[in-house]
Amino acid sequence: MTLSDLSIEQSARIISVGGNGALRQHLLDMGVIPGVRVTLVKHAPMGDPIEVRIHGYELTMRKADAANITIDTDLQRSAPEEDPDEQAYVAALQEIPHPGLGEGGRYHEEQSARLPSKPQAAAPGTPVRLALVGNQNCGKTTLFNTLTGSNQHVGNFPGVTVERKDGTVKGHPEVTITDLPGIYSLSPYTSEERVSRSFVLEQKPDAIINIIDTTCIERSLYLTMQLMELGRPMVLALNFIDEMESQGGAVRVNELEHQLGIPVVPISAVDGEGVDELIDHVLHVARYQEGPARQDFCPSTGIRSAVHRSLHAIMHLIEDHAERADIPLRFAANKLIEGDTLTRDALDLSQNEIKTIGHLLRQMEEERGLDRQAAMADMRYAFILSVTARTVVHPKESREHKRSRRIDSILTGRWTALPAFIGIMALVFWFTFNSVGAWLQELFEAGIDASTAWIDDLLTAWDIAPTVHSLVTDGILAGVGSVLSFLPVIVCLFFCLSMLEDSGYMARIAFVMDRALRRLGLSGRSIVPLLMGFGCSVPSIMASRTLPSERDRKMTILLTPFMSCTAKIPIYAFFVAAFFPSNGAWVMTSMYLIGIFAGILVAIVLKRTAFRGEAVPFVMELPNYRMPVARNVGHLLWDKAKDFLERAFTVIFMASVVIWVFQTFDFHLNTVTDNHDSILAQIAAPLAVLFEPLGLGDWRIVTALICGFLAKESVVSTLGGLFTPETLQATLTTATCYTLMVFCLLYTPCVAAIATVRRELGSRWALIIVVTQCLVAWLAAWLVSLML
Amino acid sequence: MNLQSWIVLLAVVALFVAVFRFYMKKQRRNKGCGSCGCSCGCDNCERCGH
Repeated sequence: MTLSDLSIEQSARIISVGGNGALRQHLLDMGVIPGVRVTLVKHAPMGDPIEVRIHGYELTMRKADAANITIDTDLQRSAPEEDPDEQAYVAALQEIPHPGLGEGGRYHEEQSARLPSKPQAAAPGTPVRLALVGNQNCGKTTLFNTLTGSNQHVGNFPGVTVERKDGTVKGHPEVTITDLPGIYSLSPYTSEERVSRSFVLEQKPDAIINIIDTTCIERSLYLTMQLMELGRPMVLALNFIDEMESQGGAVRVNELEHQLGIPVVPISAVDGEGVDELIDHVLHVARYQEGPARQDFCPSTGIRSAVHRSLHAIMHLIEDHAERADIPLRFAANKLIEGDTLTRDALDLSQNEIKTIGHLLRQMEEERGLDRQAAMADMRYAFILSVTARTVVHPKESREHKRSRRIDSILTGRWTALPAFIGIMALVFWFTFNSVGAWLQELFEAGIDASTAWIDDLLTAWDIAPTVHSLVTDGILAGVGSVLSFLPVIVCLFFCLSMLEDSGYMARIAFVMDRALRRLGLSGRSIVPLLMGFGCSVPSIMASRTLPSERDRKMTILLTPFMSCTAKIPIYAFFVAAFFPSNGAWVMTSMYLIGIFAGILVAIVLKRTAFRGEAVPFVMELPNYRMPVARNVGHLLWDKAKDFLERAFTVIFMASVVIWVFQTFDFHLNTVTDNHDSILAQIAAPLAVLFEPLGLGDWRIVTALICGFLAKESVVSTLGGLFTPETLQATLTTATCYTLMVFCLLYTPCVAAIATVRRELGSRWALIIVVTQCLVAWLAAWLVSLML
Repeated sequence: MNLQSWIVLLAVVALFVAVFRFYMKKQRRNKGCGSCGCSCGCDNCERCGH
């Protein structure tokens, strides 16, 4: 029987984990190992993927991957046998107290025998570099913000941090801290995990803060053990301990500290509780370079002794290579056993050594009865479980988990999930474009109009020359003002997206939509970058880094520009006000739907041509629903508003001035009386031929589209400068206006988005996107012009 | 053109130059630093925080 055959709420014990490669290693790292109890929670509404409970947390995976995991539903029969030898060994394990603040350490005069001697502690004021490492969604960025006073984006979705970020710790100007993307182990699975791993291994921070989600401590300690194997000074921060304690759970912190041999500090990253103590401890271990007191986790007796013997044999064998490659010895040996090719290549082993290691591992597999990767994961989890059995009192079920289950019964329920998704998205659009957003926009517009009129009157009163007057009013005020009025709508949309993400619903959308997206050749995880694309393409392209395969990343990035971003809202609103005043909502909605439909068509074409094959496996943790933190949402909104205002007052301002100059003068710098003689008309006229078949062969429209490449909002400001409401009505009909809107929806993304694509995928792909989008836009607009 | 017009024009030009300089400086920062794949070598990278 396999995991995919399990019924809802039925439990079983894992017998073996099949499959191969990175996915299998990832599953083992997530705690899916032989002997562990697993419960099926539910199927996604379309029957696939499934949600299972393991080690007290929820994990999702596809049925095809679950079919590789063999289980036994007889929990008694399949229970792991008690090993008296190993139990005796574990019981006899000496506690290794880690030196506390002010006690013996590497740099202290009273040197500990186990640590090499150093003359003295690093002098106060010496620069200290810290790394913040932890699983995805365990509160790293929240802690980073608390420590540095920064306002990095935080979300309740695994993989929000996709790049490392540096900051200075408040009150300690000499201490730099780096927030790294979340990882589950040091076996890199996604590109963001590789960022974290290479930082810890190559940059060698003075100390590591390993933050863990205490509500699923077993899985979290798996990464802790791997970090301890690196031998770098580190401190363990127990986050969410308040959540655990509120339901009767507890952690015996001092005992856990003694078992692990590293300082352990309970904290609440959101409230800042325990953070000062954490900083004191981490600065202490960094300045005194106190490494973990325990690095050996494998028992030397009992059934797991085979792992111990082979691991130590390999450590002896590769000692010189590890030293030359500057890789911690135990870490190198572990990664060799797990088949990590990056480490194997870095060690540069001889053929004899590789063969010897192969023989040692075959012997270990034979004695242990498990393959090498499973044996390593089993050894680590066995140690973790023996430690947590003594130090952790698990709560019955946390309030947050209970609440999540209740909400999930509707939001991911078989019959309710899709209607709920559609309803929530409809609510988002209604809130943004029809109610609060639209009301705020009107208010904003009134303010801008009043300011413009006031400046206009002032210039008239001062008797300013007509050309200069026109530069200020028709050029700058019309250009910047027309774009500025959309600030409330954009802030409202980002507010909704941030609420969805912070609450934990975004992860559920990925779970619910996985099967539908797989038909398009994507994984459920792609839904998050795609939905963010409705806000802005730049963060959405960067968010695609959380996708574990290059194929999925490329495909998601190629499809992101089809999601109509907020910068296009001013364009739609401008045309809707002029041509569709009574059907505004329908026309706006149709733009979004056309974008999605075009994206689906392109995805199907890509799946059958350049991106043949299957999407990556969907293995993701489902976080508990949490109330969005007002501070985080506020920070995000301020960031977005600031970004928008900056664009309005830089790109749009400059573009408005340049366009005004080009439309006011001819090539001899004489003021033109007829716009057709202007520099702008002379430049854009030849290109207008390309737009003749679409009914858009007017140089002013072409100019606006060219300006839109700088920033989409420029289309509106340019049109505002080149047309009066009367000339616009005379130039376009409702049909050609709709055609133009479709072209604007689909043609090349703005410079900022293209620059981001270039950074993520290279110049070739950036060029491909520009050309493809323009072609698709022209074809779609042509089809629309034929139909209307 | 009268004096007021010249003052307004100069103010607009000065504003344009200031905005352009600010924008170019920001663009250079946005490029990234050596540690995230770019070789511009700046020390205030908005891409990776380096």
